[in-house]
Amino acid sequence: MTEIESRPPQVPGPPAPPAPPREGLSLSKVLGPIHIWGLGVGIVLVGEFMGWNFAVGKGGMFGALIAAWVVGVLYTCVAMIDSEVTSTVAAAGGQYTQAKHTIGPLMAFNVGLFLVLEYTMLEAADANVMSYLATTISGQLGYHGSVNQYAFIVLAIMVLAFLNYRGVLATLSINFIITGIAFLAIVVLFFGTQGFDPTSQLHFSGLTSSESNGLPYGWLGVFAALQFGMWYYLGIEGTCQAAEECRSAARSIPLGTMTGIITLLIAAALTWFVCAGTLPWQYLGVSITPLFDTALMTGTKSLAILLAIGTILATLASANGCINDASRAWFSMGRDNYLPAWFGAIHPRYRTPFRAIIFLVPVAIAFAVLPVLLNKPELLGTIITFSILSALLMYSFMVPNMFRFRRLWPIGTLHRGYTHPFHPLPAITLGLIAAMVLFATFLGYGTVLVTLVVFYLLASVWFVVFRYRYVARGKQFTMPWPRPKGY
Amino acid sequence: MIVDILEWAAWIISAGLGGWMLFDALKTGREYDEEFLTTSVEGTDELFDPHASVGGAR
Repeated sequence: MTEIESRPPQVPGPPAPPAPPREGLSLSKVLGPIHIWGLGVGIVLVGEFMGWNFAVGKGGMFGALIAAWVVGVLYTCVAMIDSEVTSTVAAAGGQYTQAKHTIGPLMAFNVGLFLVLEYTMLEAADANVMSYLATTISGQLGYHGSVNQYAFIVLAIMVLAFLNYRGVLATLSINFIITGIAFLAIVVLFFGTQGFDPTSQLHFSGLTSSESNGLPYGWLGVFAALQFGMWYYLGIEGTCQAAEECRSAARSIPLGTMTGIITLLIAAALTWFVCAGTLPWQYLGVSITPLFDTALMTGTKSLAILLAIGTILATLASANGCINDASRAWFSMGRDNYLPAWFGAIHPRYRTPFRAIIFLVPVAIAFAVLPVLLNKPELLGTIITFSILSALLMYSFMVPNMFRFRRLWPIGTLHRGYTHPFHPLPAITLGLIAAMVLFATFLGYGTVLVTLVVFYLLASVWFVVFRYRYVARGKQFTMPWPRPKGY
Repeated sequence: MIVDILEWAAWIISAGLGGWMLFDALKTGREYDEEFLTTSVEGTDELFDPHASVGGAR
């Protein structure tokens, strides 16, 4: 079922012919590197404000630190690979589009679904957390009655969907600003706790005095912590979805993605450092808002307020970026007829994939309200695991994708905005760590993983039997790339 | 009391935004030809400029 054979004939080898002028609609080409940074870091940064610390509960302080390093290597590989491939693919859909070009339609369909589910589930979780924050804040303000969480879940999703509907430039400019503030809040907390002088306010003596304090469950705990180590960086690969809307994808995607992963590595280190030096591991492992709690422990009111604002802004930025990315993946699949072509429409005024944005709103709301509706807060963890597992499945695809990409279009045959070094080391490292984290997640959430795999299998059967006949086979390849090597 | 007002405001704003997006989407669908709305293709940019150098330093 490889589609490369049906690629329209082109002049082999470089230089590529210029793209013919096109009549019709296209997404706005208005984004620069700062928007890509705001998109990638914006989706992720909420994981520093909440979520990563469950790794402490599984593996202790050192377990969480090792998870931050190991998973940090995984995401550095992801960022390097995505930067190279997407700097040549100026198309929405990110890894879906990569799969379409390098492997084939069935893989592309699955990768598209991985992306939509990853971002929609993360958006649902963000909205749910926002309603929790609204409840907490009203409690802090002295209101002790019940707060209708549905109202704030729906409001959060609607406002952000509206923003996305009206245009990508404003959406990602706002994301850049609020993500920047949230990141600065972490840096200010580091200075506020005098992190530059570890003997001053932070206390590591208990942590370093005996192994049981740092690694309470030994190396098995470290292994279990890997799953929650994903929180430090999950979603940075979302930068690829904006490639078609960049003024220059070749420049903006690598620059935004690589500075994004550097920012996240710094944020992860600072977060672990100030939290580990302030809170006992038994508390940190179950805290809902670890950075905010750390700020409260300093006794400085302004720091606590800043971190409360940072937590809310990070959550908003994450949901905002998720709407942007999920809709681009859904839109791209519609454009190529992998889904009904109706979803591939662009708004003539706002130049956004407006139908894809609207369609995913009720899906996100349904998953966001589910834990409240069934009165099962633990369902939030399952929803987040859906997101993490979909992401891991997608990272597994990136390994063969990278090998195929370099084989089909070797260096020198295609203009790359960025060429990552040491190939194939990053791809192999990514594959090994992703397999390790997938296995660790399977041990904790085996039922969820099996459910998800069954879902993707059924969806694949639907695609092969009912949908593949509609796929725009040759027409889906419109970039004037040279013919792949060997074809 | 304030929380009640905020809840109602949240519902009203949500309904307003959702209603507007649906209305605009339907209006756009009626005003423009479906073929025009779905004309976009995979992006192109300066990467495909024939005068651009073919990269890859390593």
